[in-house]
Amino acid sequence: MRRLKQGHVAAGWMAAAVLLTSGCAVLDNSSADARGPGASYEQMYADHEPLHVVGYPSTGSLLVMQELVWHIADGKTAELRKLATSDSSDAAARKTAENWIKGFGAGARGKVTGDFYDDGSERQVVVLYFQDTHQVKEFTVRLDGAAGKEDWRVLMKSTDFKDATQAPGWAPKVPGGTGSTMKNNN
Amino acid sequence: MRNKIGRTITGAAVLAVTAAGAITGTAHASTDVPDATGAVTATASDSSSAADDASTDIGDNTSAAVADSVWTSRGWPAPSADPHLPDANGNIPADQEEGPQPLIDEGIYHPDPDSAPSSADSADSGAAAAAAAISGDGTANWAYNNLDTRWEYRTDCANFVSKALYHGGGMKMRPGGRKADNAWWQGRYGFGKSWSWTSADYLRRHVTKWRNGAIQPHEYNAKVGDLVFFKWKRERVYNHVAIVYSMVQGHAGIVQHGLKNQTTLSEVINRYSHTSNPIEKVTIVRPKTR
Repeated sequence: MRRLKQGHVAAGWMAAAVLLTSGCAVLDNSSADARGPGASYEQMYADHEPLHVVGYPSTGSLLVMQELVWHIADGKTAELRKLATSDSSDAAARKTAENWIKGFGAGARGKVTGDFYDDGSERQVVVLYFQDTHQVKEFTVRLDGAAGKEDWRVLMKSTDFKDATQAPGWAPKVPGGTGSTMKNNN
Repeated sequence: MRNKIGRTITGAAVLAVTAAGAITGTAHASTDVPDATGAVTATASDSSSAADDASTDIGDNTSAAVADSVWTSRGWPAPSADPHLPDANGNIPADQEEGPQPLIDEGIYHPDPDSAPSSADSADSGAAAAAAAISGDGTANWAYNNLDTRWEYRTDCANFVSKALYHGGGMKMRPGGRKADNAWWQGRYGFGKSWSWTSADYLRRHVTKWRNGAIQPHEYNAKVGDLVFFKWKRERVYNHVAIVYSMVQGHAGIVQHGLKNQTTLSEVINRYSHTSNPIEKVTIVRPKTR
């Protein structure tokens, strides 16, 4: 009887060990979703003001926008440049990153709301509202890359500072003002 | 709404037919693309370089390494003897990279004997010609009836259109390097699919250059089964494709694997019309040769 009890205890410890191991694996997988060689997604999230979200993000469009705001806030030009789609040259992406950091760095370190328009299946228009600096900026994110290797990226072709920081004329003054649908703007 | 659509799509001089035949929305004249006459060529070049830069796969090299017997046993020419195919190192012949090229001789590959005219009789020739043509109705019907088919890629628009052309329209596969414009295939020898099968811009180049594709100058010229390619202003190449499944009073209804599986050309254009990245070009192509 006693031997049987010991067997149960051993099995319990084994099960706990397996659960812990698989739990770690799950955590590792989620961390692997975050780009960049540095901090994990969780650490990056914890180190920044949470992005307030309005509208209809997908996991991909939300992740890339969170990274965009964090890199702007941290002034990480190289990391921000890596988020660029293949539409821009390396130089254009770098200049755009510099412009955005210069123009929105202060705002990105405060409260930011992202209004995700329509649907984030393949591409999405996202408007960021930087509350502390009262700035508004439109971004386009989309899946980019060869079939089977696509990843969410940001269109970065604003080499002119004025263009890079220009507020969209069509966006509502407050997030969600049009219900996050483009057809309400037509 | 209708007025706005009209201005966008068919307003006076809004749609200018370029030398290459693309519909260009001058209302959204781009500052980062060449002039109208060079637009299509320029974007295609960009596409090529961008794709090459982005790609790390070895599809071309792998396909070039396939033994000739594998191809010849299926009625296709040996790659080593075909000047249109990549060489042993997977390099695409220079004359196939870009620029004007003669249409491929349909008799070269003899892939589909059922499409070859078999009689000099005019009636029979007509029937044979019809049999050799891609069926627009077939393409549209397959697409409409298979909208819920599984997305194989995160961006599945071109793959969906290719499947509709193949299963519904009767368009035949063509051998060639994975990234070559003249190739169009899927599931051959375990190499997945050619880029022309899965990429909107590569598919556009394939059907216009290698399938005798006729570019329609206006939306109201479109027919059921035509392909609609979209290019956004700030993006280098055409990044979306859909199929016309209905024409009502000159306006095209389209089906796609995209934001909405069933929508209209006007709705897609309008959705982005006021953003900083509107759709600046819509090219409607009617592929002809199977």
